[in-house]
Amino acid sequence: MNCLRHFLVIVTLSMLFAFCPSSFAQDAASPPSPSSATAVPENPFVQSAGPSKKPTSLKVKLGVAFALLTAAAGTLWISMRVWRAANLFDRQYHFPPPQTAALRLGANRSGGHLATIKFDGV
Amino acid sequence: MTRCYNIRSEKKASVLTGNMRCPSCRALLDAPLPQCAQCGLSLAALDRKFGIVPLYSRYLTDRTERLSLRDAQHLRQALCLFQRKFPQLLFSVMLVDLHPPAPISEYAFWLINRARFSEFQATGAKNLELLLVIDPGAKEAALITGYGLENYVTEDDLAEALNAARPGLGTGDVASAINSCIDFMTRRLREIAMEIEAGQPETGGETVQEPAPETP
Repeated sequence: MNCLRHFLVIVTLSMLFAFCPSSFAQDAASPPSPSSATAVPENPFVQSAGPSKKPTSLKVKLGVAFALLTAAAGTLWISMRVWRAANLFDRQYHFPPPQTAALRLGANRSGGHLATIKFDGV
Repeated sequence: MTRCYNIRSEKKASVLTGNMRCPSCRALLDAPLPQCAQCGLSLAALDRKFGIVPLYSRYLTDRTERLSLRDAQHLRQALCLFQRKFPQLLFSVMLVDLHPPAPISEYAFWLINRARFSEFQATGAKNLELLLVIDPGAKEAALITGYGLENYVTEDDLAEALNAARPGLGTGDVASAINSCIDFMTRRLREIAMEIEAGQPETGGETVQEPAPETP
C-alpha cells in the first residue's frame, strides 16, 4: 500500500512537471486589429488554413517522456517486488518423504534433532 | 553385476539417522527409547515443566515484543517465501523470554512437539518442520527439525545456520539474525534438493565396487 502511494505521488509530480511549462508558454493573445479600408478582399474560394498550430515545445516533450519513464520504472519496480514475493524468479524444491522415522522420547513430531548457540560476548 | 555405492553417502546416512541425541544432555541414544537413559528426559516430563503451550502463530511469534511491526511483517513475508520455495516444509520462528530460565534445547523440543505449527497429521516422518527459538534475554537460540528432515539436514547444517545468525544476535538486531538464518537454510536446502534430484552424492566421496553375491 505504501509502495502504491509513493508510486502515485511520483506520477502526480511528474505530470505536474510535464505540463507546467506549457502554462508559461502561452502568451497573452492580443486582440486582432480591425481591418482597414485598403485591405485586400478575401477570396471566398480559397479555403482558409485556420490559425497555425504552435509547435510542441521541447520542454513539454521532455516532460512527457520523463513522466512516462517514471511511470514505467515505478510499474516495473512494484512488479519485481510482487514477482519476488510470489517466487516467480525461483522454482519449487521437493524432498522425497522418508518411509519411517525413529520415534523417541515419547515425541511424535520431532526427536530433538537440533543445534543451539549462546551468543553473549559477540 | 556389480553394486556401486558411495562411501561418503553411506557415512552421511549413518550420521543422519544413527546419531540420535537427547535434546537435554546431548547423550547419544543407541535406540529410539521412550526416555533418555542418562537424564531421564521425556516429552511427558517437559509437559510438567513447561505447562501450557503459549499462544503462537504459524510463521512468527514474538512474545518478547522486541520486533517492530515493520520487521515482523518483513520476516513473515520471508517465511512465506521460504514456504513457496519448499512447499513441504514449514519454517517457524518463536521469540520468547523463558521464565524461569530453562535450557532452550528442552524448550524447543517441547514446543515443536506440542505447538503443531503445521498440520495435525504431520507426525513422524511426515513432519518437515523447522523451528527457530530465540531467547534474547538468556542470549540463546536453538534450531530444531521434525523427524522428516532428519534424513536431509545434519546437525552441522543447523549449527551453521545459527552461526549465520550470530552476528545479528550479538548486536541485538534480531530481525537481521533471523533473516540470515532463513537465507542460509534456503541455500542449504536448495543444494540438498538439487543433489537429491540429480541423484549424485556430495563431491569428495569415494566410489567402491562390490561384487554381487553369487547366485545359487
